[in-house]
Parts: sequence; structure tokens; C-alpha cells
Amino acid sequence: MYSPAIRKILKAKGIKAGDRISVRKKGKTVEGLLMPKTGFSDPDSVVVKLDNGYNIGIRHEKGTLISRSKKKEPGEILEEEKFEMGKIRKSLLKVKFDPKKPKVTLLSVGGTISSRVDYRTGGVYALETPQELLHNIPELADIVNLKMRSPFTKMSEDMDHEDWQELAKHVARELNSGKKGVIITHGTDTLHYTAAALSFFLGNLSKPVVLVGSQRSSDRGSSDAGMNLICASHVATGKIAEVGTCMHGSTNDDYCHFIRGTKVRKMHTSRRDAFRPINESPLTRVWPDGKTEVMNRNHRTRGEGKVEVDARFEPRVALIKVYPGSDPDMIEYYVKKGYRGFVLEVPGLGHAPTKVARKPWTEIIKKYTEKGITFVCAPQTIYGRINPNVYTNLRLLYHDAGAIPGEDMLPETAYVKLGWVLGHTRDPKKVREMMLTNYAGEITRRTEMDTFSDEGLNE
Amino acid sequence: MNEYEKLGLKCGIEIHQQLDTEHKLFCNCACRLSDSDPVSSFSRKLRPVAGETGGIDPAALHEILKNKSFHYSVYPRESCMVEGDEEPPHDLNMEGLDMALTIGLLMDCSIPDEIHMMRKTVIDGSNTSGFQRTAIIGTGGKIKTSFGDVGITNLCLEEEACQILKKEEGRVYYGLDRLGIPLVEIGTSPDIRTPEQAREVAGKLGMIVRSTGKAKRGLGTIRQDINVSIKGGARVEIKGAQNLRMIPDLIRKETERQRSLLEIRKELKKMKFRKVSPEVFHVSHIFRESGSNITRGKSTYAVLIPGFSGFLKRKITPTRTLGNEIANHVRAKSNLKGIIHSDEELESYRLSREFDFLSEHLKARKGDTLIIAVGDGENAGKTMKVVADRINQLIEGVPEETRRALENGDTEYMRPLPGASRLYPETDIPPIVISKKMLDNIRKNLPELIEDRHRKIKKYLTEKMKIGDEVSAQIIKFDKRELFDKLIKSGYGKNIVATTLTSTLRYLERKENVDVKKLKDTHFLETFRALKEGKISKEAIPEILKAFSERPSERIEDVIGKGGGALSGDELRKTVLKTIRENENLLKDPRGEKILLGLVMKKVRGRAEAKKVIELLRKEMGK
Repeated sequence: MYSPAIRKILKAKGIKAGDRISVRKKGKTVEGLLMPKTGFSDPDSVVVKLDNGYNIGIRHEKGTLISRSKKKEPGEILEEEKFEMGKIRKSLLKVKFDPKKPKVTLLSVGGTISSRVDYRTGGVYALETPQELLHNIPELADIVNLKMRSPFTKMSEDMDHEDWQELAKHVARELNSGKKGVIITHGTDTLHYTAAALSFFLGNLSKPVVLVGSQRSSDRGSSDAGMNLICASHVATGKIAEVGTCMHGSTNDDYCHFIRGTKVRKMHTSRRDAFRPINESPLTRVWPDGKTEVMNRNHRTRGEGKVEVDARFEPRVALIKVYPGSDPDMIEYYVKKGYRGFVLEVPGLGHAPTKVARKPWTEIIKKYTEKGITFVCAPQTIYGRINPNVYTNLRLLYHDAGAIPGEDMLPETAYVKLGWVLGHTRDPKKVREMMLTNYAGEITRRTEMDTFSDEGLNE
Repeated sequence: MNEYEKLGLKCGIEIHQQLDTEHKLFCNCACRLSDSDPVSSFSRKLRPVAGETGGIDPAALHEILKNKSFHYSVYPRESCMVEGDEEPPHDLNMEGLDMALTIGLLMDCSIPDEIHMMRKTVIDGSNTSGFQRTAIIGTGGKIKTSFGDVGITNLCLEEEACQILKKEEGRVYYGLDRLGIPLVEIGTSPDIRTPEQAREVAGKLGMIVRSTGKAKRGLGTIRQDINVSIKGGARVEIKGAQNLRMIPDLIRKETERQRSLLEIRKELKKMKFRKVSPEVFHVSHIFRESGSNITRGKSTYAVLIPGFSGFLKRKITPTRTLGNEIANHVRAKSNLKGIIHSDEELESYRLSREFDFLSEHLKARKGDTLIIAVGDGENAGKTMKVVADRINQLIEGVPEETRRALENGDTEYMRPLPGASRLYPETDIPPIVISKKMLDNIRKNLPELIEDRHRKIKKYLTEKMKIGDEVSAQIIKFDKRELFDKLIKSGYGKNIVATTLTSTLRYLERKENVDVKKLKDTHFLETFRALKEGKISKEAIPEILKAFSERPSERIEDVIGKGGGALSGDELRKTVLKTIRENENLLKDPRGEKILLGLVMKKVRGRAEAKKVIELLRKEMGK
């Protein structure tokens, strides 16, 4: 926001963002368009877009004169420039999806992939119509007939289980009304949490549900958004009936990986190929031209049958990292707040500090397990499998104290699953049974050799 | 009024100069081209978004980009994930900003109170992100020149792009090392009125940037573009003037080119020449059996342009014809490499008979032009359209375009003038406040302009040291002032020092391929000390310096010992005697002594004083 002083002047002169103004300061005059004020910019500086396209900030001080400019904006805005400015030309409205193509619904809940930039102001807006999407990614018209819906829009870091529940309802509605598949555009930061949640919530799934985002903002020529959506469209009309993410498989713009929703994790803050399968291979590798290579035969294939939503979720579940010196008293804090289950991210094969440590965890785990609270352990190493037997300490933790070894589940997936399981039952025996049962590929019986990090990923 | 004023010549200059900062503009990589091999590479495609459609229909652009892939070579120390477009930019390099502000103040620019970094769309693959980060640092400045002030319209701080390593059909290969090196862009108003003024301005701009002490030197570290227009002509942007010397030539020839095009327009108007849309005839049957490799066995197509005869061979500059220009457009805009037309020396193509047949076949009249293109029907058709379009443009006048500088001072068509690039805020970098305090600080510490420093040195050398103008200029040019002072302070004669530092070094470098860069100050100090102590003669200096350049870690004693020092009396006598014996015929020659002196001096290569040699010669010859 501009400072109150500046806002007062603008209001008095009837000037708003986008108007042509003239700023006179210390004998020099600057002409241009008034830009809206964005965060991080000094509220006392007026931001002006010069005729050469550059923005500058002019600090408003005593003696600075801001007025409407009498000069006309140079030149006419060409049709082509309107495209460049993110505005839609009338001719574009003719661009439509082909009704003969497979019907897929695109549910947009946020992320840069589903937004566009106003190139004049730099402002970001949600893409709203199919025309806008096709305008940027015309290839989609050859693959799918997309219907676009936006149940809500949120930054993915602001989401929680209620958003996952809402989304699941919409997905089911679309799949059960004859769509071949559903694509969900979503921010990348917690994309894998949503993917895991939908994997559990969507029972009897027989069609693809593809979550897709982009790591590079869609305003730039290098954005991965286009290719990711094109590949997602192929997956959504393909044979694999799973919930999964579809993002770049390498830093090259060559192929995407469709990765099981319960086995995927964002493994880098910013790389295009940040999304990696953990402890298994991607389901398929997909090229923008539609070529598909199945990499993992463990999947359901397309069929008929209605999706049954079972999105019960107990939100009083916490994901806690256990590290040297961590204080088990935080469990007391949570339990007092009514929490019923914990996923502990534990080092190595599944160790928690024992009574030898100055802050032991095993006692408190035993204490509350006996009171009916659930503790599931998942690998802090991300990769690998929890083992309850190999060390004495492990046996104490799992066989004696009663913690549940989370097999080869990702900590994030285990968290989502525990919330889902506790949403169904409070009976500790049943909770244990469900946590150790495989529902959506989150637990595998065998880990192939080439599934650690980059090994085998980019052959 | 000079001829350029009459023509209404207007020029502007734009330079891009790399800065030698400690690291790149938005990351901590080294600012240099790598001297090692790439460790890996990756490939990307770009999608058309806002900006730089360059006048092309967005759908057409989509088609073009669809079939293009860009391949980037990764260098371990000179590129990181920021260059790879896999990590957001780090904070703006303050050293670079400081330098840009310094340059802005040196040029009297207005500096904004808040700098906003922008994204400028670039989709030729030379920026991995699809845009260039650029910010305006100064506007409304001016520089003083010998012909008045020249306005500086903009000073920008921006990132360098990747350099092209290789271009193939559908693929471009780039190196990531150059991407992200800081650049300052300086653009002038079109206040320049003559070719020589342009050279002066370009030189001045470069000098101002170099005065900061942080301009990168070397090939490719500075790019100079010139905008040229004449009255009635059009603004043409010339890219790639390699050095200052080329600039006046480029402007002269461009002025001539525009003038010629305007004249051609006048003539065409007089002739009532109408726009053409010629039918493309398939004439392979005429050309297939020709004696020319160009057409034999291939498909040939032809058009007829009525009344156009003689125009294609017209010189539009002393070294370029209109035909060259059309062929250039054909190469740039179509898939074929050129055309052959009836204005040319058809015998040299071995096609004069075929053109006669063609002329008959198309019922051409005297005064008509025939043009052929060799290729398949579709490509030939496209080519002929390019030809016709360019011919039709002649009626309109001079087209605005971007042209490439050629070595002989001509220019060739490169691409249409870019539309205003779409610039939008770079939201990953917060705006930077330029406080009054920051500017005052920079203002207090402005560097001395190199030209002012040189003026002072010149004054010192010529007035105080009494060194001649020429030699002074050379000392300044080769940056030897400090060494000069050092040597003078050590008590060595200023003339011999000045000569050694200028003409001797130049001679060694040019005529004897000596790597003078290997010479350190100590080499000169030792050499002059030996001279002072009589251990060597002044004629020996070149030989000694040459030896030092080859074996820089040796001491003077070793250099002299290995035949670099003065010859002993005995050795010299032996040489003189030998020379006399070898040239006994000269003993009777009146100029004999002089010639013999020359021969001996050549043999001893400065390791003896001429005085001594003459003494010995006279002694021996007298015998």
C-alpha cells in the first residue's frame, strides 16, 4: 500500500493505478504510468512505469508534485501487445476444447501453474477460463477436453485436512460423472501431503487422479507448467488408476514422472525435478508427445466402478522430528491438548533416545501407549525401512514400549494415514492393524535395489 | 553545412560492457568464461509468453519454438543452480550496483530513489529462465564531447546472456559460464551528427566505464551497437561493431545505403513502378541440363519483374549491390541460400544460354529482370515471396530493421527491429532504496576519468620530463608511466628509459614475437642497472629483454653470461677479424668501413658498442 500521504494526494487528484502521471521533483519531471504498490517497496516511493517499460521508484518528499499527465500514451496498443499483456483477444474466444476428446476435469486449487501475470503491473491472477489455459498451452486441445473448476484457492502451505476432504469430494463427483480422469493444479510445497490424503480418501479408485504443479512461475518462457500439464493430460487419459504427482523427471525438458501419491516427496526447494519417488520407482515416465514407459508394475489399471469417498480424519495427530537432545515433554503438551496420535520421525533404523540419553523418549512412549495413544515411527532418513528387531533398543521401543514400526512409509504419508486411521477407530489394536495394512501402496513388501535417490531414476 | 548535415544524419550509440566484479550479478559464481571443459549439460525448450514476439504472430512463434531445443553446458566454478534456472536469484550484487551508480553520476544521470529490477522476456534460449533481469539505474544524463553534449537516455544494470557455442537445425548450444555476468548498458540520444563524432562518443563511453577500474577487458567484453537514420530514411540498428575503428565506416556506408535506397525509390516512382506479386514459374526443364552445378539435376523456379532491369546490380554502397541485399534477405528469411538474376554476369554461372531460353519462355522484354531460385516448389515459392516483398519495400523507402556489421564496413539484414520488449517486475528481488547518503558517499569517491588522468600524465611527461609528444603518448597508451617513474627514480637516463619502454618493446613484440607481457619491473630495473654499471651496452638491451621474457626467473648475470652480455675484448676482436676476412673485397671499397660496421653489429647483436667496433675495424683495416 502507498503511504497515507500519497494515497491522499492520489485520491484528491482522482488518480489510480494505471493512469498516466507526471512526477516533478527537484526540477526534473518523470512521465509514466502509476504502478500499484507491492510489498517490500518503500510506501513513500511512487512507482512509475516509464515509456521504455522500466519501473522506477520516486520518493515523495516536500516539494514533489504528482499530477495527471496531459500527454497521451505513446502509440496504440497492438493486438499482439494485448496477448503480451495477458489480455485475451476476441479471436481467442474461438479457441475451444474439442468435444470429441476424452473428458477430463481440471480442479484448480492454487499454485503458480494455475495463474497468470499481468505483465503491466506484475500482479498475479488466477487463470479462469479454458480459453486462457489453451491460449498458453494449445497442445492440450489435442489430448483432452478439459472442464475447469476451482473449488477453492489456497497457498499450499496454508492447507489442512479440511481442504483435502473438500477436494476429495470434488474429485469423486467428477470421476463419478463420467470423466476419464481428474487433474488437480496445486502449489508444490505440500503437494505430496495432498496426494497422500487423496490416496487414502478415494476408495475404489479406478481412474487416474493427477496432481500437478510448477516449480517455475508460469509467466516465464522456461516454466515447467506447460510440459507438466501436457504430460498430466496424457496420464489423466491413460491406463494407470492411481493418485499421483506428475512433474519433471529431470532438469531437462524431456519427460515427467507420474509418482504414486503415497510414495512421493518434494526433495528440493526449487528444482524442476524436486518430486522423487521414495523407496520405489515412479509408476510411469511420460513424454509430452504421449509416449509412456511403465516403470513400476505395481499399480491398478483403469476400470469402471464408482469412487467411494472415505475422508474421515482425526486432526489431533502430530508429526514430530526426534533428534539428539529433543525434549519428550512436548508429548505431554500435545496430549494435554487432546492429541491422539504421533508420527515420530526417527533416525536410523527407527531409534528413539533410550534411558541412556539425558532426555529419553522410550518411557514416555510406553506410558502413553498404555493409555491408548498411538505412536508410529517413520524414517528420518526418508529412504529405507523401519526395523523393529535388529538392535536391542529397537526391540525395546517396538516390542516393549509399543511403538508401531511404520515399515517403509514416508513420515509425511504416515502422518496423513494416521489421521485417517484415527478418524475411523480409537481401538489401539485396530489402529495398529490398519497402520500396518497396505491400502494405497504406502507400504511395500519389497524394496528394489535401484530405488535410492538418483540410482535408476534417470536411466 | 557538411554533407552529413545535409542528409540529416542522426546517430545514437548503445554499448554493453561487462563488469569485472568478484562474482556474478545474482549469484556467487566467478565472472569469467571457463577454461575447463563442461562437466555436464542439460536441455530445455521455451514456450512463448509475453513479450519479444518480435512482430511475429504468437501462434507462429509457438510453432517455431516447438521445434527448437536449447542445450546448456555446465561449468563447475562458473555456473550454479541459479544459471540453471533451478534456484531463485540471490540478492543483487552490491558491488555491481555501486559501479553502475558511479557511472551514472559520472554521466550526470538522474538516479531513481528506488531501483526496481525487471524481467525482460528473451526467448532465443540465451537466458535459461526465458528472461533477462535488468534495472534502470540512471536517466537523463549527458557526456561532454568535442562537438557538444550528447544526452544519455538510459543507464541500465543487467545480466549477460549465455554465449552461443554451436547452432544446428532445431538446436542451439549455449555455455552457462557467461550467463549472469554483470553488464552496464548505456544508451545515448540520437545527438550524434557525423561518423567521426560517433567514434568519439563510443570511445568516450568505454573510457568512462573503464575509469571505474572494474570494466572487464578482452574480446567480447564490450558490445557496441549504433542507430543510424537519415532524413527520409529510417532508423536502422547496427549490431556488433567490433572496434572503434569500424564505427565511422559503418555509419558512412549505412548513410550511403539509405541514400541509395531513397534514390531508387525516386526512380521507381518516376517509372511508375507498381508493387509486384509475380507468378512463380516452374522452369526446371530449362535449367536441369545446364553446365552449372547449381541447377543441374535440380528443380528451378523463376519470376519476372517487369521494368526492373539494372536495379539489382546497382551499388547501394561502394561495396554492396541491391542484389546482395535481396540475397541476404533470402538467406535470412527463407530456407534457400540465394538467387540468381539477369543483372549478373551469367556466363560466370554458365547459365547465360539458359537465361536466354528463359527470357524467351517467359516472353520477357528488354528492361525486365529475371530471377531464379533453386529448390523444391514450396521453398522456392517462399523465397520468391521474400524477394517480391523486399522489392516492393523499395517503393516505400528504407525499412526499419536490425542489421549486422560486416568486416568491410557494410551491414547485412539480421531481423526486424524488435518491438518494445515486455518488461515486468522481477518479484524475486525486492526493490532497492537508493538513499541520499549512499549517493553522497559515491559522489565523494568518484574515480578520476581516465582521459583526465592521461592528460595529467601527458603534461608531466612533456612539460616536466621533457619527453617528446609521440613517446609520451606511447608511454600513456601502454600504461608504462609508473614503470617510467620507477626507472627514472633509480637514476637511469630518461630518454633511454622512454625509448626502451616504447619503441623497443613494440619492436620486440611485433618483429621478434617476444611475449613482452612476461617482463616484470625487476627485469627492467636489473637491465638498466647493468647498463649503468657498464656490464652491457645499450644496444644489448633488446637482446637482454628478449632473454628475460623467455626465462623470466633468471638473474641478469646468467642472462649476460649465456651470451646476453657484452663481448669481451678478445671475442670482439675475433669477430671483427672474421668479418673482415669474409669480406676482403670491401677493404678497397670507400664505404667498406660503414658496411663492415653494419655486418659486425648484426653479428654481435648489440653486445658491443658501435664506438668500440669502429675502433677495432680501423685498427685491423689499417693493417
